[in-house]
Amino acid sequence: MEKLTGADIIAFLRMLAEEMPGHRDELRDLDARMGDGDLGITVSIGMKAIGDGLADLEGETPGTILARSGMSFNREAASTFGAIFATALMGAGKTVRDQEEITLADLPPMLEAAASDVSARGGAKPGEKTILDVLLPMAEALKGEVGAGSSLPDAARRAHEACVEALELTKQMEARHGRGGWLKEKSIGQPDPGSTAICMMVECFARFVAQS
Amino acid sequence: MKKLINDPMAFVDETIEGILLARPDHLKRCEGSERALMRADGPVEGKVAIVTGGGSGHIPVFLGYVGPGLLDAVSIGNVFSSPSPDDMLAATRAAHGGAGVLHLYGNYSGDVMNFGMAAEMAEMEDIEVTTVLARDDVVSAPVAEMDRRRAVAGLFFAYKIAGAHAEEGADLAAVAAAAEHAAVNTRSMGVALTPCTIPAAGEPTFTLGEDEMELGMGIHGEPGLRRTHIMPVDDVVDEIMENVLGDLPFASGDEVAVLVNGLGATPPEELFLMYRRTKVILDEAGISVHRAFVGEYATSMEMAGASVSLLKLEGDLKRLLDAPAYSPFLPQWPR
Repeated sequence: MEKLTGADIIAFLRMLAEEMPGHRDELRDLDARMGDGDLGITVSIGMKAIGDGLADLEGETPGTILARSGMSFNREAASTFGAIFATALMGAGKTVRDQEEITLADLPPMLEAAASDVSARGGAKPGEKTILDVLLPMAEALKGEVGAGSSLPDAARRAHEACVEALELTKQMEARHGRGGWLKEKSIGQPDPGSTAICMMVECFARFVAQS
Repeated sequence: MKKLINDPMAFVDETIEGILLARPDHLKRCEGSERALMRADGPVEGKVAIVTGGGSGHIPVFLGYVGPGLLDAVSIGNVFSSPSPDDMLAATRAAHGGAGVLHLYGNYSGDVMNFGMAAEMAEMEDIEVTTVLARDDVVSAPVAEMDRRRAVAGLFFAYKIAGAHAEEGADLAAVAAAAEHAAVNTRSMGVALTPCTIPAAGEPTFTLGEDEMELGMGIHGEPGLRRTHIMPVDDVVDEIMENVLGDLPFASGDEVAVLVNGLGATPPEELFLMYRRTKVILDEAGISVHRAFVGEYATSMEMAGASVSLLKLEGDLKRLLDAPAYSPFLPQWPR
């Protein structure tokens, strides 16, 4: 698979909606050490909301599907993560608003737009233990893959590796935002829960483009 | 998990249904949302509307403060999670009486981001919105970084002050200024003895040993100052008051309102034990108490614990605190 149509995006989001609730307890336990433990529920409810909304999105462009799915997520599972995730998907979606298909070359600007909008919404900067700290390294890794002429499946696998590496680095960061921000130096040692959830989704994405 | 509930996922919606059934003369739903409630007699034409919101699990925060002399509408999230921008917008739109809307709520990132989206959407509909955040928990960040502090029970004072000023007919800028004045003059600190369980999660969000307490813990179990062996209540209040008094700092000759708030599972007797010691400390410091509130004003479901909040009264604050207000959820209110 080298291109993603609206139907592909719907199939991928359906995969997320089915698989992400399986990470509920893991995300809850991680978030309970950093925040208030609602991330597992948030992701489960939000992903179910995305899944429930997909039938109405058939025939739409990839960008519209992403943006509207983000809004569905935050409508049913409003929260810090919900607002950030919705903002990210809307930012990524608007980058490819009128395109019928997404290619590898679209992914870095989509991730950068997502990161930029998340930063504007929540006031975070890189290095403050937020999803920016996985989105931006993935954008960089994917730019490299675009330059090297990689296939989409290879690039997606590399993006997942970059995400895992970047997630590992968030352990050393001190949280400045959200409930983790009140832990101050005690937040060091734990990975960022939101970035962990993103990493799980990227793992799904790599598998999705590999199998199709 | 040992709770009197049905389906954990229906907990919030069924709670709202129960409240509406119990208080049909007081509250009604906002048009277009199942998760937004407003004054039954609203919108009040020509009055600045005050809209709040936040996660469920804190009654009487937030919907218990909707009423005459208080707030106009509230949006309601899942337990400990922000409401959605759609619900906040529905509350904002429904409460708007033509004089603008004050978004007044606690400083939590989810609420701030989602209310931010709602405010942008409201402005696109030509509804003027101003935002004030309560941020009273002294433990959550140094005083120099007050804008990073979270809100706890002291939010009550901002509600009361802003609500009274709006009821008097003040304009949006003046209501927001009164709310901010109350917010920056309020300091709180709490203690937690046992955790609570989010129904949909099924497990307590933190653990405390049978003989442990955590000083300064937030109302969702956020980390506090220190975890310690259980201490006599007077010693707990001494440590709380040392942090609270030193933070503003409060000084001899100041006049304050005091709020001793129970988190849900701590009985009123223990709250009065806390007030007893609080009053002794204030007397010794030469600080006079204009009014004391002792009871449940911001809970955390079945969490055991309490907090002490002080509002330094100056300017209009005393008059606004004393102004009449009504909500059936308030455990005590001056008549």
